[in-house]
Amino acid sequence: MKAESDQVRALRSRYKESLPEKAALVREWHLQETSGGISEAGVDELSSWLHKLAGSAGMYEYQEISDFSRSLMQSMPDLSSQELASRLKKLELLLEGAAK
Amino acid sequence: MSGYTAHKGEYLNQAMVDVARIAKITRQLYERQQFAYLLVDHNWSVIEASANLENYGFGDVRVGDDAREAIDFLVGLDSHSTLDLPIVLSPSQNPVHIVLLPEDESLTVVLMDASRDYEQQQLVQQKANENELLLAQQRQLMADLEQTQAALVTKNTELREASRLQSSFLSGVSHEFRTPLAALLGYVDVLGERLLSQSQEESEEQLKVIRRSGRHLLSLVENLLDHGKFDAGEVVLNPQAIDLQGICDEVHAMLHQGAASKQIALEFDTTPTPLPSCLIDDSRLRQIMLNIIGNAIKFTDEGKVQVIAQCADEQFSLRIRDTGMGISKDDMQNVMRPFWQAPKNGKVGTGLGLTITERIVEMMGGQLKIDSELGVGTTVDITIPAPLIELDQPDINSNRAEHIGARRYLLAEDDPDIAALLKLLLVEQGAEVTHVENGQQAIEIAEREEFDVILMDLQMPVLDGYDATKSLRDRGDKTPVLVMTASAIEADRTRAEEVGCDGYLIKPVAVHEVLSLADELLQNQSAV
Repeated sequence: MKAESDQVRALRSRYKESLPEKAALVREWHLQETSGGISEAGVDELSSWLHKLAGSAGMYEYQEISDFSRSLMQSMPDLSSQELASRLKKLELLLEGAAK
Repeated sequence: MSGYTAHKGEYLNQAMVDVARIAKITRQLYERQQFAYLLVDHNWSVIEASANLENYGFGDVRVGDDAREAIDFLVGLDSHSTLDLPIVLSPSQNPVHIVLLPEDESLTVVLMDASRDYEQQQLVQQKANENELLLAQQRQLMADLEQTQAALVTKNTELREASRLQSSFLSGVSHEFRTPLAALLGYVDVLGERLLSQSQEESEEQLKVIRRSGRHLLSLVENLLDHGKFDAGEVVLNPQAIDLQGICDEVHAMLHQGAASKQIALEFDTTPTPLPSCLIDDSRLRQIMLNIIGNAIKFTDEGKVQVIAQCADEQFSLRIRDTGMGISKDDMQNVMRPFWQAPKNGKVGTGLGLTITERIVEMMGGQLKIDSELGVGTTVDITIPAPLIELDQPDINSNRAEHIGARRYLLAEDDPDIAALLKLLLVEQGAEVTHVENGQQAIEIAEREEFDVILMDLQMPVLDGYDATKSLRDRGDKTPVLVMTASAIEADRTRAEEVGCDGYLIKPVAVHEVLSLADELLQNQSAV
């Protein structure tokens, strides 16, 4: 139905508008990781958040963000602090780029 | 004989010569100074006219003419009297200063250029107009200022009242929360201590109090959250294809018991029967109906509550009429205000239900009106736009394709972005979708309602998808559960299958994948 297609567009637009906020959140985690490391509870929270981002970004056709966050979520336990910080930075840039 | 008498004739002759000379000199002076003149006799017949008369637009004046025909402002004037007209507009619209100088036998009409005086007069007039305008503007500004001051005083009063209501609400709500919480905890303690010693009847009664208190608390919290969401502009309508008759039946079923327990009748009339399907946010419509009909039951102690639901011209109208205590005229002004409650009515609440309902109705583009008489009852009329559903031509011209879309789905998903999009995409395919935010809610609603397929996220707060599915299976619920997860880990899939999930999709999921797999699961189920 045409009206509902408009609604889908509105939802996509709303999701795009939320990307800068998501980028800011990743920036905050990056800052935590580079200034002493994310706490144990924070790591769980980040993992859960990445899980959701992998799902929602894919649904809204941001495939690269979806794939990257899924990969980061799965590899997090094996990453050094420097690697995690570097990947968070990349995710932040991906989100910022998609928000434009 | 005096000298004067002797020389009288000589003197007169000399005087006449002098007058004629003066007149001549004056006329010459007029001409030199660009004055114009007109010499007429007392019958206004022109004797002489200065050559420059045409500069003032009187060029056609000739000797012997009647001066009044050429110069209309002379009409009605006395040719024997001196007269000074400072500014007169000539036929060519030149400002002219006119002086009438009568003599014995004649009258001299002097015309002088009055442009400067006229400009001066115009300037004075303009200044006067500007002053008048400024005064008018000043008066307007003063009026505006007074109006703004009055508005500020009103606003200030309203703010004080709002602050007072909020304080009153906070103190009231503390009591509202404390009372059912105390009852809830008290009876839980009693149940815990006497579980084995008291009768089942006593336990059931205590459980009823616990359930009632819990529901009341839940309603308080929901109202508070909703009110906050409206204030923050976070409420988004999610219209979808709904069965209006089904919603009415559901609301009736939910409230019937409450009315019966007060020994009042709850009557539902729907026109047409059944009501058609249309596009409305079902959860908000349910909320509107539960609030208004629930209020009607709450404030009616004798008689009945009558609900008349009609759908015509793409408008859904509801009339809820009760024979309750009614509302006084004074209180009618306040009923829509947040946190307001009628004093001493003996009923509990947050004072938010009606406010929230009105805001939802307005958001839907509808209207809510209340008519009430103290001691007689209250009638609430609600109208909401209800577009009838017009489905596109199906892509696949088959009954099966339509059937796949038309199923009822329970969507358990805590991510609002995913839930909103997936729900919308499914609804566009003709599906009915009920959305819940965690596994616990999924179990509760699956107990009350039937669904064709449950779409289950795995990672959710309160109760995750694994435990929710296991609980459903333990309760004997065989509804196919289709997992949707962002996890591609094989162990997660295995675990999901072990707890009883039937299908597994990795996000992002496409709506046709969901429909197709759901169809496959249902076919497998019916084949068993």
